Amino acid sequence: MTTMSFPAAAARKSRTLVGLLGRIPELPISRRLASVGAVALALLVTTGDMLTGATAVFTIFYLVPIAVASWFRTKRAGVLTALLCTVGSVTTDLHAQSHSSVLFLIWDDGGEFLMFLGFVWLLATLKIHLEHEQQLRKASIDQLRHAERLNTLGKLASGVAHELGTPLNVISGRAELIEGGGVNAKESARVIFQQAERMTLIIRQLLDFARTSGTDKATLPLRQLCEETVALLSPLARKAGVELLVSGENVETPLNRAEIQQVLSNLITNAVHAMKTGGEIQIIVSRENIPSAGADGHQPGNYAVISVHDEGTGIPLAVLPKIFDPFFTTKDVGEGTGLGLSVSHGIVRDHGGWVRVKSELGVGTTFFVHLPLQHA
Amino acid sequence: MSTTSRKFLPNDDTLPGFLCSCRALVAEDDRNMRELVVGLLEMDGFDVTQAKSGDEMIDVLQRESLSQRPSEAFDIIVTDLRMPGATGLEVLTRLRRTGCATPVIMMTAFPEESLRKEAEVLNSLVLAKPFSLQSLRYAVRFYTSVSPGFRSRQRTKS
Repeated sequence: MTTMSFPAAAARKSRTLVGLLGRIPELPISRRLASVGAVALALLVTTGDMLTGATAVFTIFYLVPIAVASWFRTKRAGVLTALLCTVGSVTTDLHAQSHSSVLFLIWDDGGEFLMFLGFVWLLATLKIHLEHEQQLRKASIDQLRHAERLNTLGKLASGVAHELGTPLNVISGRAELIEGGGVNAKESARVIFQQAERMTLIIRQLLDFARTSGTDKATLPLRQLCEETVALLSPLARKAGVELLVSGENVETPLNRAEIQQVLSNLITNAVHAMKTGGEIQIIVSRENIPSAGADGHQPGNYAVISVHDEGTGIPLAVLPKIFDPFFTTKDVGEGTGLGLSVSHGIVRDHGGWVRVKSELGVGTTFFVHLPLQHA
Repeated sequence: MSTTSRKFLPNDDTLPGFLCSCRALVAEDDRNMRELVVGLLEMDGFDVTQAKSGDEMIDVLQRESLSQRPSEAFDIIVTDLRMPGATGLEVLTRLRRTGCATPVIMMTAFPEESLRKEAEVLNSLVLAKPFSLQSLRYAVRFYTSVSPGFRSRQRTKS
């Protein structure tokens, strides 16, 4: 049996510097600040020492405040701090009386001031660049999610179209019978009404899924959400001879309904695709207490866990580390986008949770979705 | 349109007598849909056997073909294409393999081209849901009149 969770797979990528830098915008804010801070300090001490020939003490006392001001506050704050530092430096030089000539003082501290300004400018430019990159990245992630959502919607729609065919036929058939006058019209009307209600329910579920609800989160019962998603997917599953079963506690968690529904549909559709000969898919909602921070970097606390267990072909060991990568797919061309799991993982991470997978070849695969019970 | 065509078609209320005592098998998992089709065929005087799934359909066909030639067990089979257990298409494939030539009408809400082709190769009529009861009725009447069981009975009569 092989298990793998996404952060562990990603950790492998972080070993290279490029991988690490690329992942900085993904990290939680505290770790992001810490890593940027550490790198900035190291750079400052070395470049500062090299450029000025000064000691590390000088660098830390002057360059760090300027860096902090211009990076975390504004460019103006950076310039102001640079000015203050220069004044401080001039005062120290005057006090030490190490330089006899005023000209030398202007040359030395003036040059220093110019270097400070250059430093502020560099940091401000870097910051603008980084923010721009982050915005682009967020926009492309949003776009990717939207595309994946449309893809799921397309799949569901074809199932729903089928699901509507039969009740529609019952309605038109009953209407024909009433028109012919040969049957009990009241009974037929009752059946028509009942079928119309059934169709309304099917359409409403699809609309609920299609509605983009932004990033709002609401505290919702998870088991009910699972049942609603299963109702949408059952035509697709039935076509493949697969039965979907939901069980477990009705745990309430803060979540974005449409997004988590997308995660569930992705996991269930994958499970259905993995079961070539039919069978059962178990969707179980439970609670779990994570007592200490795991190797994957998740926080301790109370979590709701949705497990999606299939009796499918299983995931080969060689493929397992790649399954959450965007555009990675083992399905035929045109069948899978390779975005489902990567988008699902992104959504769950945005909720402060993580996805874990356990798979055994020829026996089946279980995906565990952990969602925090409190707001992340 | 419908009023002009009715002049050339038998009146809906009067049964074409020759179809009486014909046997039909209806397989459909949706209860309401099954009731509708069964009701329609019974109105036309068919002796209808029902099946709720593909597996049940296979059971019925096996039981019936013990007592008589498979082709004569039913004069017409109306089945859903997609059902729990064996699908209509699977049952049809098995049926044709036994050499049974009974006319089969397939109902489906998933008229995918590939499924249609398969069903047509196996010599069955595919009706896309939703269809009108009238079209089903005419299809049933036509196919019954050319079914091997019906024709052999006609031969023994004459």
